[in-house]
Amino acid sequence: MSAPKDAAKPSTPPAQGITRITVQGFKSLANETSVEIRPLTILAGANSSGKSSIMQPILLLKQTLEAPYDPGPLLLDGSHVRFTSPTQFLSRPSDDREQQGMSVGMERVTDLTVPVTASFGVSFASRSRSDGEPQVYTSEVTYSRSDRTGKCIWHPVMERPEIEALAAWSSNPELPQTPPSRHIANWHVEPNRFFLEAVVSEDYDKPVGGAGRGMAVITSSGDALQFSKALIALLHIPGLRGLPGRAYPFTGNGPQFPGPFDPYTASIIDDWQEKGDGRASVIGTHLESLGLTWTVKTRRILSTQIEVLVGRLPHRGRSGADDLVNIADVGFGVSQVLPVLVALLAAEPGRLVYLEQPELHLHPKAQVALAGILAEAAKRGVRVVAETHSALLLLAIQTLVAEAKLPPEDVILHWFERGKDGVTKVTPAELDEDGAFGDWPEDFGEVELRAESRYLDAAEARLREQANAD
Amino acid sequence: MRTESSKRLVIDACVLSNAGELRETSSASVGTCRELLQAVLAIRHTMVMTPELSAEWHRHPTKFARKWMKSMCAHKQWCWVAPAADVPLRAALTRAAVGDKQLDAMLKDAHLLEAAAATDKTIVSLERESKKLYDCAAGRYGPLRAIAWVNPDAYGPARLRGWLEAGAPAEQEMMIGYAEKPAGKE
Repeated sequence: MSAPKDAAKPSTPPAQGITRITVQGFKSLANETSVEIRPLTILAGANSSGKSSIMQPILLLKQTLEAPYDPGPLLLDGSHVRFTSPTQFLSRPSDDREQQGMSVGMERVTDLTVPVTASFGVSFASRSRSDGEPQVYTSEVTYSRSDRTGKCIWHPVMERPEIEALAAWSSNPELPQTPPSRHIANWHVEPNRFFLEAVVSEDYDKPVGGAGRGMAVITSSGDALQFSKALIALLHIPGLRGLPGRAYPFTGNGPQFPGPFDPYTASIIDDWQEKGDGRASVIGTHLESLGLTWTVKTRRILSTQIEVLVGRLPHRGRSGADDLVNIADVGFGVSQVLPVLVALLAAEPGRLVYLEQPELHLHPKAQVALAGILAEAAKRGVRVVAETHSALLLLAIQTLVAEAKLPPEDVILHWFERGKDGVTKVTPAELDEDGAFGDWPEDFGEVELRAESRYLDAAEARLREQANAD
Repeated sequence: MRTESSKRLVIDACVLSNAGELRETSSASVGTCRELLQAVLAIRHTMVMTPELSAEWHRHPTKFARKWMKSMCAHKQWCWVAPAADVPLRAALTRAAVGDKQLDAMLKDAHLLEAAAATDKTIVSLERESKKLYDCAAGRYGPLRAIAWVNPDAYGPARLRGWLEAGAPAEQEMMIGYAEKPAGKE
């Protein structure tokens, strides 16, 4: 029952962007846990199984980079994730780990002519302040690249020869490096948010190229910049999205979207509408395929606010283009899915879009249709990471693969579950050409069957009772 | 989790349709079939799919059966076989049949025997009539005696689950042609 192998496959652009995330020491991810990211990555599992925990450290890094001030190594209480103390997210130390700490790693494929896989990892350790409150600091930053041997490992305290060796390793075609001067006398490592950088300063008496004290910073190579860019570029649609508003504040239209993505939705649609960008009408097509409405329009209210209007009916009626109502006057499904649709269209290939519960407030029929929209973005090369509890969404993705409308190699599934010790275990699965995931511990089907069986047993018992009474 | 002891089971369409029926009769098999199918899924046994079985399953689909099939397919717990008609088997059945009615009854489910012979030689079916006829035919045709015929009605859900957990072994009393020996005789 396989689809013919020579069926015309949709072509996916070459892989670029974040391709792997690794976390250790964060909440229930006590052990090193690594998930591969493909154009369509599904995170599934029971509540509190650790699905969000694999992405939250990435969001911590993102919000740290986005802070308009220097928040130190990590901005704990930000717009993506909110903590007030490291004790809230550091895994409880086990017997075999003496020090509490966590590490986050990422792998990305560059968009260079010859793609290169670059890896970045940052480890945080904690120490107690005088008041007993733990404080995290960067204890190690690691870089590696598939086109170079060895690793570049930075520590908070390093001597000149070590720094010079790392600087040599770091010379990177993506970013020209500042060559160290012979006159430079002082070498030390300083933290810059969660990165570690070598600061090299000249002797006051022997300035390089002029009077006065000179200083140069050897960053941890162009890779630091590229990973920063990838983190900042991440679009995040949180699981708790705002109530539909009568009007939305006017915002910028990217390409960077600091904080969660949903507040930008209205302004982006307005911008596309204003510029005649075809994506404005694609949103209407998508909403119609979900059975929600057939069009979405914006109306500026002075220069500060934007009203979002949607078609009153699921499909265009006789009353035509003027039959619009405010988004606050229709069901929650529209306002909850609209940021998802806009983010997927706004994202360029290689950009990671992290969707928490994209199926929120959607009817089962819409959940099935949503799979097609996620697949469309994935086929453009966007890296869609969807955290979901929807058995229907998963089934619809399997179906698209079985129908040869989505290449199986573009999809990866990760099942999260916690062991008796509370530690998360992640089991990945690929789909085959039939859309089957094989020996994957997914339990949606078994839960459905148990529910179905329980209902049938109960209904039959009732019928029998009634028959006996008659 | 799939284990090395996972078996390829030929599950008759009547088991699937029965599992999804909502009926007021106190048929034990309805609940037992549901339990059995859930256990097959959870214990990671494999169902055998043939063109005939596929056609039968699609003829009487129930919501429960469709969901079960979907999960079995997703977990790759099915194997597709298209065995050729087993000429010696059919000839043996023809020889054993007394009259056209018996022959029809025996040939009706011959595809189950052929599918079982091509896989792990285990059939799960509620059919009693054809089973009795096969028991008779097994006396003269040895290959039939190598096939286990498990009627869910004959076992409780707990016994079936235990059997599946043990790897669905071919127990003596399940084999076609098995006849209980009279008490006192060895």
